[in-house]
Amino acid sequence: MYSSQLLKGTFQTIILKLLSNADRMYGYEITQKVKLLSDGEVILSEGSLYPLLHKMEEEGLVSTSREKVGNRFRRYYAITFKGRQEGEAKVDEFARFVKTMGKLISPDVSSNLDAI
Amino acid sequence: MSLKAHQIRLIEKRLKKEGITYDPLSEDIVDHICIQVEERMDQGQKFMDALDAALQEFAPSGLSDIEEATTRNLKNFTMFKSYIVVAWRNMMRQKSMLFINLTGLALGFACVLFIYRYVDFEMSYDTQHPAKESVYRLITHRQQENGETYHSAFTGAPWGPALEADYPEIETTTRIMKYRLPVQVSLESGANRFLEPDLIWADNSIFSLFHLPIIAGDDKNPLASPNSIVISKQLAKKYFGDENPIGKRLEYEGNFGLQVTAVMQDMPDNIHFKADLIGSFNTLGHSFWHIMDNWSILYYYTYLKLPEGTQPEQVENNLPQFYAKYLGENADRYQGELQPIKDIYLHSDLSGEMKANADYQQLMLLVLIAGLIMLLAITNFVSLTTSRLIPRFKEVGIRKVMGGLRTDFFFQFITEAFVVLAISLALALTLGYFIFPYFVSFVEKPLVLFNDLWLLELISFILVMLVLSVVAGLYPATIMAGLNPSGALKGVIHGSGSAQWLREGQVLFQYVICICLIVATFQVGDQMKYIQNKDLGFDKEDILMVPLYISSDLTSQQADLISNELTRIPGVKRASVTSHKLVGDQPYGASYAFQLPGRPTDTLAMNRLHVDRHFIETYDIELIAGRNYSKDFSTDTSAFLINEQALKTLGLNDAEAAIGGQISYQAQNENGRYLRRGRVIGVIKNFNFSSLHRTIAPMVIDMQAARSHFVACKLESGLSEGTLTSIENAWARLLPESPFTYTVLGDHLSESYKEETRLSELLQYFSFISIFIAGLGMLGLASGTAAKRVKEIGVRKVLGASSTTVIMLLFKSFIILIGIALLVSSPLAYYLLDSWLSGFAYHAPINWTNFGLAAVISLGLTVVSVGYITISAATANPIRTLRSE
Repeated sequence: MYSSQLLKGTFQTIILKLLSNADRMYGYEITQKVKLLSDGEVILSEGSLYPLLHKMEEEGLVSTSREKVGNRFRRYYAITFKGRQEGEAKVDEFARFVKTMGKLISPDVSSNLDAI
Repeated sequence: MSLKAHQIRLIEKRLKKEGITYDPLSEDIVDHICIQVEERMDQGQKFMDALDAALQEFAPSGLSDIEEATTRNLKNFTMFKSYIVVAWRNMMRQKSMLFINLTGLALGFACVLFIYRYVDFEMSYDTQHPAKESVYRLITHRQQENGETYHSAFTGAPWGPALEADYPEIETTTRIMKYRLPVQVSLESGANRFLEPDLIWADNSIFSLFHLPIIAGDDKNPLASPNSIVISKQLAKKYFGDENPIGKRLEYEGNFGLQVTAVMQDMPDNIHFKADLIGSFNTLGHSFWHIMDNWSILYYYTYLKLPEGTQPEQVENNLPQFYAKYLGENADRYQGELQPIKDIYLHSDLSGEMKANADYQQLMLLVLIAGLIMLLAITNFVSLTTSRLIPRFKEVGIRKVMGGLRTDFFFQFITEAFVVLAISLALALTLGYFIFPYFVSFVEKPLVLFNDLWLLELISFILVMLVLSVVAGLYPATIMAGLNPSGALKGVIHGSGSAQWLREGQVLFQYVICICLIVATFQVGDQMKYIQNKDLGFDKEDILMVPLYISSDLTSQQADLISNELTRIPGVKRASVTSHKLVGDQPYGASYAFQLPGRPTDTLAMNRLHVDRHFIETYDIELIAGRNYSKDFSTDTSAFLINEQALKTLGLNDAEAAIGGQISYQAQNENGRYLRRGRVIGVIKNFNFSSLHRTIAPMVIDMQAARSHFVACKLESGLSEGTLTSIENAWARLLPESPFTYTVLGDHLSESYKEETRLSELLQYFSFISIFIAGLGMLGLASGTAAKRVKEIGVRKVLGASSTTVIMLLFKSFIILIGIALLVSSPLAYYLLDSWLSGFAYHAPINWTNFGLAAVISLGLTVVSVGYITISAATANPIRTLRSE
């Protein structure tokens, strides 16, 4: 399991990516999906998820709809066009970030550092 | 496994307790936790254990951090949007409460808007004149010989010019004269004759005192020379079509010609007089008898314009000196007063007013009712909002323990209040839009719902609503701030004195208003019935009045012929010719010298009426002493009848004593003044002449055919088509010159009380609405009370109380409140009604049974509104109500 310190900046990217592959998802579903896809290595806690979702809703990256399920209401989140664009940019940025990080912390890099 | 509704409610409560108030977030979390609980329960855990575990897992360190983190990132606007959404959902959740609030407020807003439009128009009279602040009407208080004072809008014709000449502090004066009957105007061709009710004679200066814009012709001095006339645009169109009216000639009563010198704009309704034609005042001196130089005939209106800064008292102080100079020995009987023209319509009720004025008292009563309606609707609104919040008190108690009342909670209240108010306003405007035309045709005033100021009015209304919302939000917030947190946590709310007092105070307040309004509604109705059914002293039923329009005076032979011919028509019982219509007319007055055997001569001012031989039978007037006019006495042409009031004025107790007394007075005809002398042959019972607002005046009656203006036909049994046609045919044969128009006296009587009847009906309608709103409020409060006492009732029933006992218990508090309300409202209602009724010289007594009736109706209203809820609470199965979740 990765530390939350490390994951903090990546949640929005993950949510946008997940939503872009689904019609709509609800909060619990998102946490479970993340857990499943990461083999339990990434935990998106409720305390991080909901503030983020509400912020994204305000920014227009996601839209919500409300539906009665049993005796309660469920709020579904769906990605908007703006969210999709933002998501692609984020995924792209993150891929480059990983690549750069790879360069920075690969063994030959460290040997290079040793050489200095 | 799917959670039940009460389990979900429990979860919601837990979240609230943990500090989740932002609604969209709360929904997310409830759903989330529900799923977790369901999963655990599927694995065999009990609900409560599953919930505790789920909460622990969800947020080990407490939920309030999540709300902090969520709302910290959001902009205010997003929060505000969510308040509105939540407000909407809360409202929808309590549909009956919403219905009460919306109905009450929408009705209230609509009523207030209507009343505002009406009152605003009534207050706008004579505010359009540029000189409105400096123009006054000179009115006269004249001491009569009998000691009574005659308050009159009239002055003498020569007064105005003399005042202007003698006192430099008067800038201008203008005189107006209006004949009390419609006059006949014909075109030059003679083909078309028109009856014009609104022709006045005035000095040229009328255009500088009043705002009467000239749109064509001479706009400087249109009335400077005799025989000039200014006509309204509408009449110019009616008389001359598209031709240029300027310079055209009009024939007045077939007597003389008038030349149109200018056309003025049609006069608006909100001026205290109405004129379609204004003839030059100096025409009168040329074409009428020499009344223009008579100082003591009071039949003319005099208006004065004072320069800026001059006080009316300066002129009033000079008046005694003025009367002394011109009125000789009678001068000290006169007292003058300058009345601001703005005050005429609402504050003046003198004899000889040019148009029916409105009563300020009654108008203020209407304003009071508008205020009460609004007050009722708003107290309903605030109290219902508050009572809806009481279940949240516990939550607030916890918040207080945790530290302070959060402002977002407060904003939530305000938003909810504002949403309800805004919807009510929209409803009120929609309702108003459709009903306003009916209102306008009912009040017969040119009112518009939306005028040029609508935007400004809407903005100010919205501002008022904002203030109301803040009050409605602040009020519960303040109550909550004052709550003792430990009490609130224990759920002790209605036990605490202030909340209980508040609720009962509200109910008491509503009862007081209800009782006052019910009593007032009954009393106003009584008074109107009283006026319509009061014995006037003559038979008003089945009497047809036809005005006479003839250019030469009637002779007594002609008068006889007319009444005899009309009486011959089948269906006509009797016909009589008189100088006045008996209702709502302006009586003549004269100074009569009475000579009774063994007494000194008394000279008294009395009203006079001129009739013919058939007067008493036609109107069915009761003769108290002496005899009626008869063909057999040739001297009857100069004989007099007097009324009871005249007898009283003379100081006689015995009617018989007046018979045979001699009366003489100065009469006047086209040949000048002459002394008319005759004996009293009969005394008749008082009959009401002008209006029930005034007491019956002493009256002297004689036969003078030349003064005839009306023919009355007493019908056998109602007005039938055939009789009417026969009368019309006979009329055309007898009086080809005079067009046939008629009024039915009974109808005419209602007509003369039209303004009053209308205003009282308005008062009644609006009272009904306020009583309805009060009933709605009680319904809301009662459902709150019953709901809160459901458990108590359950316990009582378990302990053996019967349903009846419980119902009595619930009603007892209401009955006590009604009793107190009756005590509080009786003196209040009595005072208000007493001052209203004092405006009538004859009024129905204040009926104490109305107060009892009002209490019974309030009780009935309570039973209807509270009954269902109370009974269902009392008969509910205690097992269900006592079950705890």
